[in-house]
Amino acid sequence: MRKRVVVTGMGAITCLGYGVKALWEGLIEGRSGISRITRFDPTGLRNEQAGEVKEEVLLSAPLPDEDIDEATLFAYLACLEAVNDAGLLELSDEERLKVGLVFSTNFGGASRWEEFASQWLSGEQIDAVLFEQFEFDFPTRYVAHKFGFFGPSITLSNSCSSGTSAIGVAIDLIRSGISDVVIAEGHDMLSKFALGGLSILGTITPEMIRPFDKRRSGTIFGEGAGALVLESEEHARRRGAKIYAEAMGYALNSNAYHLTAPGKGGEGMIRVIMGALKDAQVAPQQVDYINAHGTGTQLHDPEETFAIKSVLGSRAYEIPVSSIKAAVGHVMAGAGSVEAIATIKAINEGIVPPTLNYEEPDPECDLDYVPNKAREHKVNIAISISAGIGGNNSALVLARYNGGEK
Amino acid sequence: MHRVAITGVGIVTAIGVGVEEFSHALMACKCGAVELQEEFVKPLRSKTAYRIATPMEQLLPTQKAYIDRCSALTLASCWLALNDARLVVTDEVAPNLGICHGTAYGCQDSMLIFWERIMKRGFRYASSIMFTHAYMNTPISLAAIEFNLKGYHCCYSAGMVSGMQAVVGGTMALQRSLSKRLLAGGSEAFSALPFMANYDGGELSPRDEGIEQMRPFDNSRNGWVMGEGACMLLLETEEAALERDADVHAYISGVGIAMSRSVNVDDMADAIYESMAKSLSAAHIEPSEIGWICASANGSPVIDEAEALAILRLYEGRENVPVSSIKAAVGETIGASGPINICAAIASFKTKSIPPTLFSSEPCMDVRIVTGKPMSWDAAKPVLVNCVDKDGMAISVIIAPP
Repeated sequence: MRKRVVVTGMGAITCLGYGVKALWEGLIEGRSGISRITRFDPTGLRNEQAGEVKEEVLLSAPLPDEDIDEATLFAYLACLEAVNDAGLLELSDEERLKVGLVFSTNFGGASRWEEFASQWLSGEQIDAVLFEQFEFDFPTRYVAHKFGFFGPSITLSNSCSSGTSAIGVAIDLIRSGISDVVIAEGHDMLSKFALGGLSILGTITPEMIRPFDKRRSGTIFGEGAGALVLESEEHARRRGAKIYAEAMGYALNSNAYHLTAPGKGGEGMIRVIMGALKDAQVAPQQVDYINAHGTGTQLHDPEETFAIKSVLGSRAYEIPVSSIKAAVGHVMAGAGSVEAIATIKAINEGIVPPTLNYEEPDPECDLDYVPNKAREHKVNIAISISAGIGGNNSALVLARYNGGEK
Repeated sequence: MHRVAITGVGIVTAIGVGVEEFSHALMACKCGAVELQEEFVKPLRSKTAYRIATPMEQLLPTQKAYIDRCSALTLASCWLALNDARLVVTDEVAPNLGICHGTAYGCQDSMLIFWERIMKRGFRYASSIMFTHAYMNTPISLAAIEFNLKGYHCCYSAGMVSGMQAVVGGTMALQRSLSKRLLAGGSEAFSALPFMANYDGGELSPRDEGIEQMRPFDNSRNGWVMGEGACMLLLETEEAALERDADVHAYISGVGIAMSRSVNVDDMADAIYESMAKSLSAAHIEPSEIGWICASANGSPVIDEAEALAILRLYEGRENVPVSSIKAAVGETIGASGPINICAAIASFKTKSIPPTLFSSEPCMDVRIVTGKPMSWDAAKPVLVNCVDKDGMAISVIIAPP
């Protein structure tokens, strides 16, 4: 019999504030944290606004002493909250050494790389520490050492489906018997490198982000991190941990079509949702809520809508489907992690977060997107969907924990 | 859980392209190190690297208007692996054929070109083509597009263990029925920025006044020499391999992962010991049942000593097992190093020879290093393959003969 995997801790930092509480309150109050970028001069970008984690948010958080960049800082702060929430610091020294980490990022320590590359291009003396802090696994190592978690550590980079992928790989580590406790994390920071590229690609809207709205014209990026403590049910129950939800199953795949264009007819996304449901051993009719990737781009939103309808059939019209990206921005590798947390909160609180800035329905996007206002809705089983540049897709099935009943 | 078979190997290294050429070169004690011609190395002490001489366009299945070297290496090795496995990717096969790929540094050349334009001309003049070719997951995405790999899909980036993480991730996905088949491995291209970062960080040979050369396990070792390369393995569940009557090169029968508490020798040795012990336990075998250890040793003062200590501890009270590192032949290929080591294990099954550790004349400890020339063996026992990162991550994989 396969192991059941549960979520026992959560942590988040987004433009809505530090902590899951700040994230959730912002979401259900319908607030957006998107504002003008202050960390660097955004002049020349398609949009000078983003979901930036402002200095006052950082100053309110328990900052570490080390000189680290924002990417590592976000990862650390999200993990700190999740670790405390799950009570992992109360584990015995021996057990703590076995805690695994699966982290993910699209751009690593991008600001450090920019500095290093600029030194090199201008012929200045280079500083190898900058490059080391750019390396994608630097935050993984940093967090391992900060908390003394020396179990298996894995770092992924599946573009914007990274956060969901990390949760999936953490499920694998637990189901394979390699680990009992794994922190799955996704993070990214706003940087000139990333936004310069995403802007010139035309992914960013020059206006307002409006997922699933007829007038949608692109996304707005954000930064931050989400961390979830995943644990075998047996381990969690043995130590009396509070259990937020069950991670039932996941799937990852590729459209195998184009680096930037969505897949043909949503075929990849259809397969990934079906794959996650199969891994979770859940029927489409059992799904109560979908936290959509919903980027607000012209091509993506109808593709995702079509995929949801193709898999869920008539059930797709009976359940709420929402995107939180107009509230926190598209947090890149952190998106899947933060959205999984929002999904779990929806399960726990019986409230689904709204899709902000939704005003004009699009015939191609004809589901119930929970426009602008949170709604009470009982959720037992939910799907969180992500997709990324390169054509990869991921989906995660989360469920209300039923107290150990099979 | 499913048993995982290796049914195809695609390898591109400084000593050979394809499993046959690579195996032959390895056993012929060929060394792929060359003197770098780039202007930037002239003032440096480190002036060599292991480079692939074959032009990339000759290795690609189709010609590209632009492709980063890291992506090109990935495509080349995927193509070789699929051909080696005689797998035709039909529409029926594609949804259950995935890819797990690791790289530490990814497409650094494309990143630098993209960034230079932003620095000089501002955001409005950024290049969208360079940006899409600069993602860490660009190589895996291009491979999926090129070969119609629609199944399980995951990119790993964790220094020297990147490719080995991909092999472990791919193995877990197959064992859990998340895919039937997938390509798994890693690639790393030579690029100025990582070279300079590792040079400035004091990693590269010569760290002292000695000669510049990679001498794994040797008392006079003084750092590692950067290499480039790629290795992708076609992994299949045993059932999927049988279904199409595929030839099996080897089986992955156990994996172990551990992380060191620090980068000092004793802690690193503990982690390497733990990863080896876990892999043996997962494979349900004893250390004495291993034929040889394909080591991660790369001439680094710390990694080599730690790995030697860990091996000595594992074999305490037992007959010493032959140990060899192929790094002095192919270079430290960073994210590709683990999968390339797996390919060396497969080469040892095919040739019934254990490749020697080049340039190691005075082993640093009482480890039974294979030196000088290949050592004959019966190829009947599994090989324990190590992959260790300079920052303390250790992965061991047991590769069993078919």
